[in-house]
Amino acid sequence: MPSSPSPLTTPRSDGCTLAGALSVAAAVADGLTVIHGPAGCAHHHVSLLLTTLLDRPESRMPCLLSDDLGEEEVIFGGEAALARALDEAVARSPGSIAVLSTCVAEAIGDDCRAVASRVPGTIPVVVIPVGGFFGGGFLEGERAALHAYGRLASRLFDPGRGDDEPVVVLVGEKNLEFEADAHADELGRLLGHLDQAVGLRFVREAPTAALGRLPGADLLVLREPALGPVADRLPVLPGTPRIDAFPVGLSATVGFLSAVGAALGLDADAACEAELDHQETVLARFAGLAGSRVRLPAGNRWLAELAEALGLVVDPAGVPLPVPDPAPVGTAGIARLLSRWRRAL
Amino acid sequence: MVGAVACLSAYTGIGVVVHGSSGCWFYPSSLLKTDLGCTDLSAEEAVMGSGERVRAVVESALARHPRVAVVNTCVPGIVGEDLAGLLDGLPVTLVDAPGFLGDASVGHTAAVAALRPVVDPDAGTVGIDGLSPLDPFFRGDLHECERLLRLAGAVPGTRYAGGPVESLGRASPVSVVANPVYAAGPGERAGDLLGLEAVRATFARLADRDPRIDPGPVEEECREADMRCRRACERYLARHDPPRAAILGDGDRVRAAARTLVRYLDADVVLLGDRAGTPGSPGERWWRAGDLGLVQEALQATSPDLVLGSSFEERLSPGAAFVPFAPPVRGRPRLASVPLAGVEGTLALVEAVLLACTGRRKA
Repeated sequence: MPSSPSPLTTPRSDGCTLAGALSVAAAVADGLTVIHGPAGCAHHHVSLLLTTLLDRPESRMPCLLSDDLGEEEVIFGGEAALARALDEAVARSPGSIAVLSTCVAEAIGDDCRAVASRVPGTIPVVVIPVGGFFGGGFLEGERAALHAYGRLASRLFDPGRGDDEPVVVLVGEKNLEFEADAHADELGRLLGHLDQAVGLRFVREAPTAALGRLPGADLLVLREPALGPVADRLPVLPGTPRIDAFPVGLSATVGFLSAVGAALGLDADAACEAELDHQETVLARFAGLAGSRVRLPAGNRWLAELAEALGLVVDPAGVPLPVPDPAPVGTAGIARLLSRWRRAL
Repeated sequence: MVGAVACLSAYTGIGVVVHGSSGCWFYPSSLLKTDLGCTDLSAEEAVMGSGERVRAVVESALARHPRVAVVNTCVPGIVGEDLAGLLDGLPVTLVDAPGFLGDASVGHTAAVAALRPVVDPDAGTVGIDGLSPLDPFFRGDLHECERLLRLAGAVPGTRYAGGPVESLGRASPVSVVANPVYAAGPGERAGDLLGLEAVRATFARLADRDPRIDPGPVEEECREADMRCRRACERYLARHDPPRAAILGDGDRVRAAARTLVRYLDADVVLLGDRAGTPGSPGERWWRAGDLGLVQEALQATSPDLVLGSSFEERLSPGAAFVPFAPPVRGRPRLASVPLAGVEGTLALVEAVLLACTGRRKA
């Protein structure tokens, strides 16, 4: 449908905040999410989340409750329905409860925070009053949820519990991305070159108690640069080093190791050498592609670098090659991309 | 809302515009994969009025369709703008179907009513009711209902939902029902086609009503299908125990499938789940299947080795043989038009169950 010609200050086609917030809240390993709205809002998001889990049969189904607002609640208010749903949530003893509001809840003016404040203090409650499209789009919902869990992390922080090893935190993984775990595995592999590991995935598959490690972070690795404003508000010590994005491309992957080394005060030379050797091995598997005439999107540095390393001839009349969005992460991502390119060629 | 949009999108000659936010539009659009308009309502318009926007989007849709249905979502439904006044003079059908009114079948019914079908007692056709594009068996059921009607010498008529929207102006006086949960059309209902007994009974009623309809060929097909099911299931039972079955989905389909599994496989039906039904107690076999937590409890309590349901239930029963039976069905290609209704629907169900049970044993 064509866009409206009328000037507007809010987006109209950026999806639903509920989807964004739910993509975060549903990823907390022991969390339970209460959706304050009609049952249909919960149903369609569960259905979409299910799709992202299809190739991971071992993964858990996210735990969601809807308070199933109907016509009566729309007219007389839905706070009692939310209170009942929270009682049911508490009875299931989750590690934490997230309360997400919808546009219906926003339109009728329910006060989610006031209702949620009555939950016994033994179970942490994260209120994310995104309000459906009243709160913006998907990204606003995702970021509001990360902020909310950041606040929870500061409540859960135990300053007496020092970590012996540096804590590297992944921030804002795209939880609806099929490759999300593969990306985290790749970062874990890279950190292994430096004898480090991912200390916390904030919040993907993290149990609630583990979120308390966030304030003690020694390094934040953001999924993408756009998460900078989110990271600015996370409860970490001033000056905590930050890497702005997961590495994309050959040199960026090696550069990631240098950046981690610099952030943690480690010598990364040997790690970079090891990764360069690994990349040579990977590229050697695709040596047969050298000389192929290919068409690639222009102005993309990591693609140009990869084409040059493989000896591809970039030609507007060449074979168009698939380039995924988001771009592949690390050397493992490059290897999977090259398998696709080999099939295309 | 999704049920209404799905219903309307099944008709030709009418465009569909969702009056709501892009997030509301995304789900039906991703399911139906059709030309579906949206006003992409903004927060400002929800507060200050959306008339200009709605009219612009509807006029844009009217460039591609002779008529447009505008489906209200929750927030416009609460705000209560006078859409009829705003769209005065345009060939528009308004459907008030905010999500908080109920499930997909409620929206489907509202959409059919909004289209104002007019029954023609002399139409000389038999309608097909209970069809929704949200149903994984929508196309298969349509084809099977049409085939059986023609086999009996009847002329397939108005669909609820589907076909040219103009067909509603001269609607069939009587209909057969593919899936009762979506039965929404006017006129008389001869019955559903879930299971061979229901097929026989429904065509007998049609014949009683209209002497031009001959139920004989349909009865003969039912007899042959019955024999084929018996033979295939006897071969299975000679080697294996009867399945312990859990069946979850739309109530009438669940009942019919249970009868079929008991009849041919002597199945122990340990769990029946109706998505729209009243909650059951642990002592009963019927459960309200709309709550995944309850479904999980029931599946764990009954330990079925065969599950008929949606991808949700498949996910919750990793060790059981699984047959897709209710939406959503995700993660498997569905290209052929498989029915659940009619003679072929029974054959397809029994075949799917035998394949699933055999496959599980091999695994």
